[in-house]
Amino acid sequence: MLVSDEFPADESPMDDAQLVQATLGGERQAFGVLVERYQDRLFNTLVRLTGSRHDASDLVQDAFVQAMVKLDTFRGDARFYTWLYRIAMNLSFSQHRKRRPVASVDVAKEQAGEEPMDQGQGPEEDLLQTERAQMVQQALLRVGDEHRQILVLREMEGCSYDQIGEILSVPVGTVRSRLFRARLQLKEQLQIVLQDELDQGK
Amino acid sequence: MSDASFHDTDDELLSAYVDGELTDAERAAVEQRLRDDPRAQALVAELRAVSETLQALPKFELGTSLREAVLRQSPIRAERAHAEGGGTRRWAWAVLAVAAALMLTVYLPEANRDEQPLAQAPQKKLEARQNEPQLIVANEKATPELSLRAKSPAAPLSETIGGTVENIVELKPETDNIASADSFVTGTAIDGTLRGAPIQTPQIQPIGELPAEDYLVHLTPVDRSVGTTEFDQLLASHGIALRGDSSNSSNRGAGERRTDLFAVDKEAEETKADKPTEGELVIVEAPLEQIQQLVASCSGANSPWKSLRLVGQDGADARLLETKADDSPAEAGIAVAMESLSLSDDEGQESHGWALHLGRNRVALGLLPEVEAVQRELAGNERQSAGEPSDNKQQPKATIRVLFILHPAEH
Repeated sequence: MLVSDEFPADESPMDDAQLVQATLGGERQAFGVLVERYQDRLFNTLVRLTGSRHDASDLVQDAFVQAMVKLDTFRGDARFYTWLYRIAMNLSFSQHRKRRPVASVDVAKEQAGEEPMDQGQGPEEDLLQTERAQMVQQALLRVGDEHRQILVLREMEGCSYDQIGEILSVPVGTVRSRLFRARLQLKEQLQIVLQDELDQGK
Repeated sequence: MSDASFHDTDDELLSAYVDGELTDAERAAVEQRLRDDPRAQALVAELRAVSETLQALPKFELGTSLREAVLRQSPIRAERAHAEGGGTRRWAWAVLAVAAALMLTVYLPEANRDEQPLAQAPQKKLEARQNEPQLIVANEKATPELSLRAKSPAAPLSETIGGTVENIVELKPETDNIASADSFVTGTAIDGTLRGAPIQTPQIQPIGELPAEDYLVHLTPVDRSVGTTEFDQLLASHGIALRGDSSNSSNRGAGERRTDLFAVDKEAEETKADKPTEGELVIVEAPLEQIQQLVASCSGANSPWKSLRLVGQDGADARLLETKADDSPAEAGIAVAMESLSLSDDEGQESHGWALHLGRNRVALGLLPEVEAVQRELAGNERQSAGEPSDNKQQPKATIRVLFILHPAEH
């Protein structure tokens, strides 16, 4: 189960389990509520995972469609979002594998100018923040799939080690060591990206 | 940076410390270390910085609701989506759908050896069976387009032949005999791959009781040069001998410990020039390990199998295998199951199925650790109950039942 508390409660009076049941009972629109409830959360995570808004958008949609097709296999012992997340993650991995090698720099360029920005900051600050975010994303994409995945689970999704272990089907000890190595890898890649930027005279 | 230089359990603790994921004792030890280890202090600061850097990334939003797009693509679910039936019913539906798409005619095997193949069976036999749970297959001799790959995702299967038997009956009023199937074909284990298949009023013939399987495996060859012969070889190479009607043209070995319950009527196929619909249904009963090895062997770059989908009973996660890749840790550990790799092809067709694309998958497969544990336990129990010595002798292994569905190649 992923953190659910991180997400603000929806105005809808029905919780996820009720919506799932309603969908299975033939109320398709109930699934629409689930879509709207989780699409942005999943999208943000997938953008970080894939480095592409376009891919992430497709993946979110595919994941929801698959989830609906297979909804009767969803078991109540997992949270809906966890289940959905796993679907999306597996889709992402299989598609990612197909497209190898991924040009991480192009991916970073693709999203140039599309970085969301906090309101109320001056243009210069915005620019700095955008550049910085792009560099971080670039570094993240240079990290191996497995490491990027666990970083996203921990830092974007805010999962506990237990939750990560559940999602990845690995023991908590593995979560601990993998996350540690992932952070070291990202740190190294951040330095490389930063150096590249400096070399280009930026 | 080599992992080895940092692969230090103590340093891992520092990372977990940053996350607040330590036991009290561990945290005390780390805090003790931090008091007089500058390197540890620096590492904690770095790890924390990395963590905060990621957390500080701005959040993306889609901007538009995907609600309509998703609902438009998803199959219309039947009212009674959750039938009370168990695995058998669900499978029955899945098999019906698959068989209808495959245009297979199925013989009753072994247990009903004395009976005529149902493709030639008189109608009275069908009627006689009306009150039993039955496997239904379609015998439709036409249109290679009925193959599983839908050309257009526009029309969900549920719209075409319905998610419940009522709908099926409605669409095919001439096949009254399937009304008896109402007692069991109530599940809606609609196959993602089947959505959109333009099933055209196939004749439905009940042919026998369908036992519950532990797993359902869909197997698709890379092209038409691969078919039932290769499938039989695949089974044989894993010690799974097929029993079957010797008059059947497929490669049957003599009776062995494994049973196949269904064989394809080749006659129907031979009427077609290019045999586009060569397929097969085989139920295999074998030790889990044997099945696992068989499935794993389908993987690889030179495999004649294009995709393999493993579905657990009642459609739940069939967590039987995982990918293993020593040279690419990133690709290891992915559970190969329903909830695993996608069945998207390059054109994006079938993107809503669940499968492993074997041809593109260069990652070896191995048993999930928990499956191995269960296996060991089972083996241990059986050893005890059989009172046999624990070595040398051929151990009676727990078997699982797997329904293999060999799909025809698309091209």
